[in-house]
Amino acid sequence: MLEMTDVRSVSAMDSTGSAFDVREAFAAHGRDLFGFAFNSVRDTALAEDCVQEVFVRAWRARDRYRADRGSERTWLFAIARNVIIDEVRARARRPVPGLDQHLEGGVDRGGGTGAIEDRIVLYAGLAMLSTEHRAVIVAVQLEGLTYQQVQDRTGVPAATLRTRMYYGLKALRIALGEEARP
Amino acid sequence: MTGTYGQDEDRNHDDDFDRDELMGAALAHDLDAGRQKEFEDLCSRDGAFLDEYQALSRLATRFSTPRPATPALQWDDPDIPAGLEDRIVDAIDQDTRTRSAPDADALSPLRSSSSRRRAGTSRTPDSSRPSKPSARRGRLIRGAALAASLLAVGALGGAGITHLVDRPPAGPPGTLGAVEDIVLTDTPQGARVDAELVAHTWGTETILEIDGLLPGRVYDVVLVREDGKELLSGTFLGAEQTITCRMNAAVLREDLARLQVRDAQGAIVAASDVTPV
Repeated sequence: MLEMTDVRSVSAMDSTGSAFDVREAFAAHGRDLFGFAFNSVRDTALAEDCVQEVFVRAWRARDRYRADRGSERTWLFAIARNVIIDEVRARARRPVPGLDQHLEGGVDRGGGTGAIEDRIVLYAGLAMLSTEHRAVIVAVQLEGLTYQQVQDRTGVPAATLRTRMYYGLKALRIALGEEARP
Repeated sequence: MTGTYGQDEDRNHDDDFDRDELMGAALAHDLDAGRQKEFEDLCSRDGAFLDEYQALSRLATRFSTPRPATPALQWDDPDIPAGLEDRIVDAIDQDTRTRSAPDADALSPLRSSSSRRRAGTSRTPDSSRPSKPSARRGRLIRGAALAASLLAVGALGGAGITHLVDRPPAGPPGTLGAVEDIVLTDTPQGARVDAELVAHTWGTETILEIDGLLPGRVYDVVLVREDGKELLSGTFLGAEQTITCRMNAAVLREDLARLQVRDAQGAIVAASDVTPV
């Protein structure tokens, strides 16, 4: 049974009896969803819009969510991927009013839809990781630092950073659906 | 349980730690000669270790793979904006109220851009359509409509600007800036593809709302000119949620004969002839 319990406390029960409470979901996943959106679109206001859209779509689709088929987090991030991909494509293709001759390059010009979507998928995966795993992957794989440099910066022993890299990438594979969750 | 991946491990002893650390070092190409030999020896005698290294290495490589015309990947941890949670709850509350109202499409601030621009047409509001809660998006759409209207105003000598800029241009197919509904046929069972065209001076914009195409599959949107030349307007992935996308192609509306959505094999999954202009 689905119902609005209160204007300020939006929650519902899915068919398996699992509750979808917007405020609880936001508290648990809002920061990571915003991080995903912000890093994908690089615009705070637009990232806010995307996260709001994710929760509105989730609320509308709450009766189709099945807790026994996947976590709420995975479900919300799947919605977020679609919202952000739609937004990035729309932005890339959106004509500049009054400046037809300066029409911005679309996603197929140079970047390619595959490249843009791959970026967004990777950002989603990073956002789903623990802070520690994401930090070492970002520092080493994205920023190109050595483990020693990260140790100097953070104080975390290089040996620990190496194991975090291993488990972080393992977790990323799971987040991206490339490996079944144990 | 928030479901954050990987909040365990960081073991600090035994062979497993050595093995995990060796893997982590190899994944960052951070092995001295001795460790490199150790790594190669382990790979040669442990196929599972090698397989996992190769899989993780492929994943790591995706972070550094050059993507033409796109900036390098970077990650920041932004603070979550104050008040966002309340704005989301307000949006959901308002969405729920407006969707239960008799004329939800006319009232809802969350209705889609295409629905908004369709105001006044006879299409029945569809509760399955996605929301567009974005104030920014609304501003952009109003901006685009404003620009299109000003184009028309310029042609008319500027009369009645206040009245005209409140709405996008209207008119028969081919009118610059006007939205033209397209009915696509031959869609797969259970799928729905709604389309609109907007004629511009630089080409034709296609706006799609799609439900029910296979999630994860790639689809192409193709515009076919009257002379038979085909132009790819863009691609999208099927998804479980409603997809809304806008695409452009360098073909003038007056030269356009047909709109098609094709699957990755080139088979047409939805199509429509367009009204000759």
